[in-house]
Amino acid sequence: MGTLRLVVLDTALSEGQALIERQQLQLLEVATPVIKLWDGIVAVPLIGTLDSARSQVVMETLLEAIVEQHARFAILDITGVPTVDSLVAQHLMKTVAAARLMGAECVVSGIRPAIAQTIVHLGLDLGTVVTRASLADALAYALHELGSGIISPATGGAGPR
Amino acid sequence: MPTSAGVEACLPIRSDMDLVWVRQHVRQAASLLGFGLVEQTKLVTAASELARNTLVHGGGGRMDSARVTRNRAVGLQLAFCDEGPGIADLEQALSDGYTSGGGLGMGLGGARRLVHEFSLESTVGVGTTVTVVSWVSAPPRPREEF
Ligand SMILES: Nc1ncnc2c1ncn2[C@@H]1O[C@H](COP(=O)(O)OP(=O)(O)OP(=O)(O)O)[C@@H](O)[C@H]1O
Ligand SMILES: [Mg+2]
Repeated sequence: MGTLRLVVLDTALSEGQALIERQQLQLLEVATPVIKLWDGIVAVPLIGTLDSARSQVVMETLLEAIVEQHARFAILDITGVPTVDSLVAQHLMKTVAAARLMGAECVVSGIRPAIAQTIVHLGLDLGTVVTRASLADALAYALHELGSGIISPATGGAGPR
Repeated sequence: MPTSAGVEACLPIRSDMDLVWVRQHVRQAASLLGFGLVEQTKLVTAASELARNTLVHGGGGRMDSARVTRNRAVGLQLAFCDEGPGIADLEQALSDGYTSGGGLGMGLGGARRLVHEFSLESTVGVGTTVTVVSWVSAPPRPREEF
């Protein structure tokens, strides 16, 4: 009786494990869309844990998109990344460096206030990375650098935000 | 007054997936004890660094989480233990930028700055235990360094 119960539990557990692994694989592929925001500007909204496997996929997908779209700017939005520790920061900096080699400048956006304070205490130096508070700010920055801007008709053309 | 339920735990650190559970548990425990968002984020980040060290350098181990009190102050204590190779030179390991692998070398020193109390015990060939405590409001006594 006891043995039978154990076997059933064991099977259920390993099925659960297989399911989790399958879902992890699916997430790797699904959760990395590269969005074209403008001519020459692409964005990747990062969501969830940025472990080594995930960031490898992000880097490959982003570099491909930069070539395909002839992007001059790539925005990495980390609003959906709950924790930025030294490994995540290292992955971000590697991605920025690789994009630079492909001729695109990266802008990291969506660093929430609590994460900004944590990064400072941790002692991480993101000095070489261009950062903006929000995705909108990052887009405005990239448009400005490209020589275009967003004109608001209501205010009669106030220039770039 | 928050009790120990949901705070007390012993979690294995054997895989990348376990690191996700460790972060999730620390976030939940800190929130239950009444830590604010910034303190929660600091604790989760420190736990992430220390748990990864346990996994990568210590060859795996566990995290023990407990609610602690001192002079009516309430805190969260996290202990990360492994039976790995140990650390020969603690000061060097704690210094910013020192890494024996391909890391940034910011994990140990950074984690120490993110918590109120930090202690590092290590014996070469026996293992390493890092214990940290943060208090829900200000620390009850002057900052204790190891
Ligand atoms: N649990 C441990 N067991 C054995 N050695 C350790 C342990 N934790 C840390 N160390 C040693 O201390 C060094 C510094 O650790 P630290 O976390 O600061 O940097 P890192 O892990 O190398 O890089 P990262 O910035 O990615 O964390 C490590 O490179 C390692 O040699
Ligand atoms: Mg480390």
